[in-house]
Amino acid sequence: MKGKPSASSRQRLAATIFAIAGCLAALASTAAAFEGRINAVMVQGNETNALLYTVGTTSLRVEMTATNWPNPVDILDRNSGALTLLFPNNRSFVQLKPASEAATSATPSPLGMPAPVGAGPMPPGGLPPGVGPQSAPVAPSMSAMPTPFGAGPNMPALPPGVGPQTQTTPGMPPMPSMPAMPMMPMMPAAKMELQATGQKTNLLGFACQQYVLKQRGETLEIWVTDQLLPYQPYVQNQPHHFGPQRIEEQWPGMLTSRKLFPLLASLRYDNGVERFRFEVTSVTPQKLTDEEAKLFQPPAGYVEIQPLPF
Amino acid sequence: MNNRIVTSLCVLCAILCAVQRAPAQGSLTPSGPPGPTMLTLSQIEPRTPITNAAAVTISASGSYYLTANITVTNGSAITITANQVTLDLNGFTLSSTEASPTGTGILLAGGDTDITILNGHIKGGVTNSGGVYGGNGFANGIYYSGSIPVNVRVSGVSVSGCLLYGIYLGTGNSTVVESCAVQTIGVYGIFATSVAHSTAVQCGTIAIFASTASDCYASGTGTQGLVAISANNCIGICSGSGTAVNAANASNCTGQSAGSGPALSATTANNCQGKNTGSGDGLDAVTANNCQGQCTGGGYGLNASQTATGCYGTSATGIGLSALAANNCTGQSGSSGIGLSATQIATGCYGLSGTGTGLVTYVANNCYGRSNGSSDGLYANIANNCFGESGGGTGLDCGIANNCTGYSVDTGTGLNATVSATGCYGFVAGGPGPGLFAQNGNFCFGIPSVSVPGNNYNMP
Repeated sequence: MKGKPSASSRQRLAATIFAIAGCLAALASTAAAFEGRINAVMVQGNETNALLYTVGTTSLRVEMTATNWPNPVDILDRNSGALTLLFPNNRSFVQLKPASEAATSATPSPLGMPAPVGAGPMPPGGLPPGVGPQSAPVAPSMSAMPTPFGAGPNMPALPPGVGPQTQTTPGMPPMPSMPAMPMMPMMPAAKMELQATGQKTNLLGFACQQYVLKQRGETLEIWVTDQLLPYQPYVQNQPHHFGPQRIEEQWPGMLTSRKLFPLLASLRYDNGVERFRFEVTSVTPQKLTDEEAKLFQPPAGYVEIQPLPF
Repeated sequence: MNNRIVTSLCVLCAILCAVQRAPAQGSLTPSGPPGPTMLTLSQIEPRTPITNAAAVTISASGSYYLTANITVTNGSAITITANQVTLDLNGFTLSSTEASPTGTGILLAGGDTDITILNGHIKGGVTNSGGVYGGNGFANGIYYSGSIPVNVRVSGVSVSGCLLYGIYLGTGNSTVVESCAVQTIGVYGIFATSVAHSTAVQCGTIAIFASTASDCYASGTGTQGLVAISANNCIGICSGSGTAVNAANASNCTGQSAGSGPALSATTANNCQGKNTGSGDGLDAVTANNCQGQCTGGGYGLNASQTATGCYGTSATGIGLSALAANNCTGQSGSSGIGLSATQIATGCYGLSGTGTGLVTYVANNCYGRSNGSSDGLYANIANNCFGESGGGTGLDCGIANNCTGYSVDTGTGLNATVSATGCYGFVAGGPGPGLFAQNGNFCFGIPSVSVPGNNYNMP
């Protein structure tokens, strides 16, 4: 029987609409401004460190929670990007300008840096002349190389022109044209790019998608979400290395610019051995108290030290 | 008896004659009252003594020297507000007992110019306990307030037990620290444009920071040992998580660290050595020449993002040596890592791995790769004049092989060329083989067998 909805059904409908709207609003606010705590572990080789992210609406604090050595605490102004490093070991702190501001305010200096561009035992019977390191440095206190297989004495004499030669064998007939090589591609020193694989999953209740980043002989797989906050890596000190930027130092910025946060990142050599891992273990949305807001300021009595000039 | 008398008379007469012949000596009457002939006190010691045992301010140019130790209970011991000042501590000591350190041993206040500080000691009571610094005394040993001082030289000074800075002069304005010793400093040990023949140990953040550092020893408990644009003949140690030596150009330097950062990191490293006993790399550089890198964890032994020449890298579980191009290098991995990995080309290189691939590259010339496990000994797209051997895998695995030898101890293939092999030899000692497999073969040889499914020419 059709008819005008009753008052009670209108109230239920309205309540339902309000409830849905409330949920949507809550989801939207979560995505827009996560507030709470994130626990993660970072494994590098045989070193494991626990990280705690305390996320406020305008500030972020990143610190190591389980360590037997004093480490700095990072405080990030999420609006300006300014980073403050607290050093509890000597009760000091340093304020670093945002990367963009530091770049624009940098003045040319005669001391300025040029921009970086992006023996063991021999085989059985000894290597042929010209094969292997010719002037490798001495390696004091390095572990000795293991003994070779000792195949040399058992290997039969090679026919002339077979095996490693010091010069091209004269009189060798030309080879016929060969098919194209179905082999590994040449790997130039190309710029690294974060590439989405299209794979998706759910980690700790957050929808995640997978990205990969490849560098010479290494692949970083990252599962990220856009429902938390732009990633901020844990910064231990200034300045950065003069040497080459390792892959684990480059990927955080790529996520930050995309406003993504990793829930799992694993860096492996091409032979499968993992050498770096970042994994979020818990995410706790939580309104921070006024007392906790003090975590985003240098404690009283801390002395401000000067940032490094380069 | 008579003879003696005669002789004596003769001698007397001779003396008298000589006296009579001698010229006159002038008047013995003084010409006037005696005048001063000695040097004045200011001529003997033109410097100004500082006799205070308490705080002093030097507000006029000149040369000063201490005649006693100075001890303060708060604030700074000596404050210099003038230009052109030379201060000789004369072997004496400045010390502080301030409970919450805020003062400085020698404070350069107000953009001083032409300052020299020499020969003495600055001592506080700050101690280091497990990397945490605290205690009484000075906040800083030698420090400035206001503008960065210009033309400052500190020589022969020792500083110890300060909460923040040891010798902090800034960089870029001709500040020199030489022959100084710094110990137990909470933040920066020595911070100057040029630092030479100096040591800084037990420093909480960075031991030595300089534009140019030479013949220095820097040991930090924090994140970095030595940071410089140019570092020569230096040793850096970092017991924290960071880098021991971090330099744009490092020559003849050694870095040793125990954390996740590289022991030695440089844009260009020449004749350097890096050893990491933690999880980080031994030596990282864009270009490395005649360098060594060692990692006892999972990092790279030596990692050159561009070129490594004459280098040696070893890693316990990671890649021994990695480079875009490697020349005359050796890489070794103790377990599953690659011994030597050269993304583009390896020439005259040697790679060894416990269970991983010995040597991996795109083009290998005159190289030797070996795997003690079942991985490839040498893996390349193109191998020229190379030798690969493997415990149970393929000795030499490549696309095109010229004048190469592959050897497998057990079940693998001695030499595998997916495109062609010319002048090659493959050998399997204990397995069925084949000793050599090549899609197309020319003048090749294999034991126990040769497999060439495509074209073959001049096969024995």
